[in-house]
Amino acid sequence: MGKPSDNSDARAVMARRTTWQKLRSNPMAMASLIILAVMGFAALVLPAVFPDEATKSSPDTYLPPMSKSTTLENWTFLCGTDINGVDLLYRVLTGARVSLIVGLAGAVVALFVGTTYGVIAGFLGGRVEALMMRIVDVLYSIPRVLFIMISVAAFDSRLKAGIDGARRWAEDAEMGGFGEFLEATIPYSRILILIIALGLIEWLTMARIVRGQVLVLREQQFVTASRALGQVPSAIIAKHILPNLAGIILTYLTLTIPAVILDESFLSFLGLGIDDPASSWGSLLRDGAQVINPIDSQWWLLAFPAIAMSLALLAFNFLGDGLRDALDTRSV
Amino acid sequence: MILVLFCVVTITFFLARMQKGGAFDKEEEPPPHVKEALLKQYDLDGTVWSQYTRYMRDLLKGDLRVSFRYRNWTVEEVIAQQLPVSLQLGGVAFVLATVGGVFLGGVAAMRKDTWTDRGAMLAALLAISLPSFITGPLLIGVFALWLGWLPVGGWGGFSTIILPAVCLAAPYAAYIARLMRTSMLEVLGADFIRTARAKGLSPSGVGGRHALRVALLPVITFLGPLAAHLLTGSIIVESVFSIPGAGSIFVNSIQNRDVFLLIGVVVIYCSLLVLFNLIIDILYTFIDPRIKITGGAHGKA
Repeated sequence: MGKPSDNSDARAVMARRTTWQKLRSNPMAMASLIILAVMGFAALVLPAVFPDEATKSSPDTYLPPMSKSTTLENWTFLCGTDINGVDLLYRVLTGARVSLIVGLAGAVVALFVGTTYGVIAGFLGGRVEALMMRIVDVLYSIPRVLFIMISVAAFDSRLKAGIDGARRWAEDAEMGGFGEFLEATIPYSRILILIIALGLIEWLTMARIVRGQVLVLREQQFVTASRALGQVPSAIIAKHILPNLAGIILTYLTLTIPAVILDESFLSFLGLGIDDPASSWGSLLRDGAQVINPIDSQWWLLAFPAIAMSLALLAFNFLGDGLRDALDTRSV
Repeated sequence: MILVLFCVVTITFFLARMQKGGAFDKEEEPPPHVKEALLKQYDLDGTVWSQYTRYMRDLLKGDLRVSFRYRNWTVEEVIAQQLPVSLQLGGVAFVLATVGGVFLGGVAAMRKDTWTDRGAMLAALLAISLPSFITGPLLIGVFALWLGWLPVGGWGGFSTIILPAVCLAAPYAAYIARLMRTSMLEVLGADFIRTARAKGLSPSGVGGRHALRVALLPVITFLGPLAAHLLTGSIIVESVFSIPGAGSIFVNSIQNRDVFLLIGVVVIYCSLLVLFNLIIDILYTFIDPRIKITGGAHGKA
């Protein structure tokens, strides 16, 4: 077994390298990658450097961008302030944190469900596969987001009560730190629900693509050879199918993230997603849209979250497209 | 398809009933006997299971029951008042998305690797990436506030439908354009197109008459999901442009825990979609040229 696998390893490395080279020669994709890296870094690190006063409510409500703070010396609100006088840049950055985390985690959930479903359907084949893919077709033509709205409303109070119960238990068991942690998570329980719920609706495309790929791989000679050698199906999947799916999974992971971010902001915009005190781009946009009017427009409340979100969504989509193009010609 | 509808209604019912706190929970707790009477009046007493079976029996008779929030209004009446608005908006957006998308994608494929192609595909990626609650205010800002050509929002008359319909249709037009471009390119490389071109047909004749019909097939399969997307998308667009459509009923019914109205909207939405998908399926067998072309060949022979 030593030699052929070495050989295929070498080929895989080479394929990976050419994919990376192709991606590097795509200026849009590389720009997107850099933008996303900067944005992710900013969202994770920058909120910590804001002075405390800028992140709490202050009398400086609705200040336009670039105005000086009245309570803080040497502090300029680069993006203006919101209704409570909180620095908008700070809110956009923390919103980015929530949106990106939900997007990433939701996409990972979708990836697991979709890949598992697709591999099973593609590998089993026959009538089971036909039924499984028919179910996917039907789910496609159902307004899935509506069910997310209903389930968020349905599970939210229950999850909150559940966490609260766990907190009380932790306090009884004298695990103060854990109890405090749980208490702090209660207001953010919706984020968890959204991650799971959105992951559970965005897996369809992934399942379709993976199944298509598995159908091709299944007929490849190395799979037939492995089967002839008496390898069990689970080992074939783990050893031969999944490694070959890596590229396509990465591509669709990149494309699922913006879809989940979009769904999340859709819900938050309607007031059914992330709620106070947490905020995401969607809920910031909602706040911004509520104060927009022709006479005295606080345009910055809408503009900066919109710019941040558009940049992120475009970057993910360009990167995903670039990845797809880079991997596309690998079929030889 | 009926099975799908049944599953959808069942899931919605149990999810809706899982919400903590009934529809009648107010700031002050009503006395128990009042609450009991209210529950009885709306047929929500007993176990959840018995509520469910009773509701399904009513539903089979075509009775969607009474709304909690709008007292004395049946769910049918509430929906019937606002659904036509959503249907109009959705219909216009549907036509815009398919016609615009097919046209753009077709043109882009015919002029592959020119600036027309690249420009169209870049615009498509932009339109796909940006949600309607960003493009909506942008459109309002430019065309309503700045240029003053179109009204900011509201409903009534042709001019109010343009911006929301464009806003709703744009991402799907873009998606269809990309779908169309890919399938058109595939078809343009096929043998029978080379034959047509060899016969001396003009490029537009080849593209229009021969390639278009085959290339349309993937687009048609997307029409079902498209209708579902437009339905959910219209909720946002209606809220951005303050249009009195069915989307607001849905959102309000969740927030007010108006269980029957909520299920009613879902039932109506899903029935519409099921009906629509049925039409698409029938349409598909008609348009599929593989059936027609062989038929035509037989006719000529």
